[in-house]
Order: sequence, then C-alpha cells, then structure tokens
Amino acid sequence: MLFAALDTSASGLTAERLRMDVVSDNLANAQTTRTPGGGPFRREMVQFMAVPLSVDGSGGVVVSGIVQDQSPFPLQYDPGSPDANAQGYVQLPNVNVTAEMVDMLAASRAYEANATAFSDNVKESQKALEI
Amino acid sequence: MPITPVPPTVPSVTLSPSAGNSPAAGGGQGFAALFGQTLGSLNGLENQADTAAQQLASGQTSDMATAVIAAEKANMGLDLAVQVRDKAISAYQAIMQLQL
Repeated sequence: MLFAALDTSASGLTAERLRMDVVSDNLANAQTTRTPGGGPFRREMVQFMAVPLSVDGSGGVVVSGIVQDQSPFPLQYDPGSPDANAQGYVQLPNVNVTAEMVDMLAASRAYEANATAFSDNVKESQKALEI
Repeated sequence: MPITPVPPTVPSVTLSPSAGNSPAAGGGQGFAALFGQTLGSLNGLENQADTAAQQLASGQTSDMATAVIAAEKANMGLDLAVQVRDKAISAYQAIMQLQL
C-alpha cells in the first residue's frame, strides 16, 4: 500500500485523541455521585493494543476497549446528602484529579510526538522524490 | 556391434527474433503498468481524502487528524505521479536525441 508508514502515526494520533477524551470525561465527572446505572461514576481507562509491524511498514496502535477502574470508591460522611447510605456515608467517584491531569499531559505530549513523527516521515518521502 | 551416438548434453544457443524483442517489449509493458498503478493508487488516495473531509464537515466524525492526514497523503501521491511523469518524459527525450 502506498505510504503505509504514515498510517502508523495516524493510528497513534487517533489513539491519543481518544485517551484525551476519556481523561476529559473523568475530569468532568469527578464529583458525580449518581449514574443512570446506579452508584457513583467509575473512572474509565483506555486499553491500547499494538498492531504487529508488517513488511511494508504499517503497524501502529488500536484501541481495544474502554474499561472501568475497579478500585473502591472513597467514602465521605455526609448524612444530609440524598445519596447517603444507611450509615450516612456518600460514595464518591474513584477519580484522582491530580492523576488525571498528569495523564492529560502525557496524552498531549504523545499527540505532539506522533504529529512530529508524521511530518518528518512526509519530509523523508519528499526527499526521496527529489532523487 | 552397433555404437549408440552420444546425445548432445550442451544446450545449443539459438538466436531468435522473439528473444531480442521481449526485453524491450517487457520493459515497455512494465513501465506502462507502473504508471497505471501509480495513477490508480493516486485516485484511491484522492477519494479517501474527499470522504474524510466530507465526514468531518458534516459532523459524522470529530477526528480532525484523519482528514488532514488523508489530504496530505493525496498531496504526496500527486507529487509522486508528477515525478514519475517527469522521469518518463526525460527518458523519452534522451532516446529521441540519440543520433543514429
């Protein structure tokens, strides 16, 4: 396939964009104590899977799913809240805002790295055309 | 006692007009096929770029990177086709300038 190596960087850009969207979702729901399915919001994570590198240079990453973090919910004592259980504790989402901000930085730096790799790949091909 | 003749083991070289013509004919066929393939893949890249830009403009996808990358690949495909055409023309001109 023509320019197959560019699809590798393209898949990286798409995957990092999706990771950024998941981080935004986690940050938006960091205080959500009720969901349509019942219970507080559970933190989401993306799972990346590598595509095996083939001879024509096309490889890359594919998102194999968005899974939920199974760590326990932190409890906060608030008997006046409508979401409090019998003991007066409210279950908060298991989203750590600091960790999400670090994840956001990592996702945006990875996006920039993939964009740089793509443009350098394009420059190499243009050099080949000057032969 | 009858003596059986030794069969010839050395293959004899035969000069035939088809052996001389087939490399040139094969070379001409090969380059035309290469140019046709380049134009076909260029057409495919242009169609992909059009589809991706349409999807982005109509809101079916929010992934900007795919549309930009498809446009960049179509651009590079066009550069490649132009370079292949230039090389073919310069080869033709070099042959036409041969003094026979």
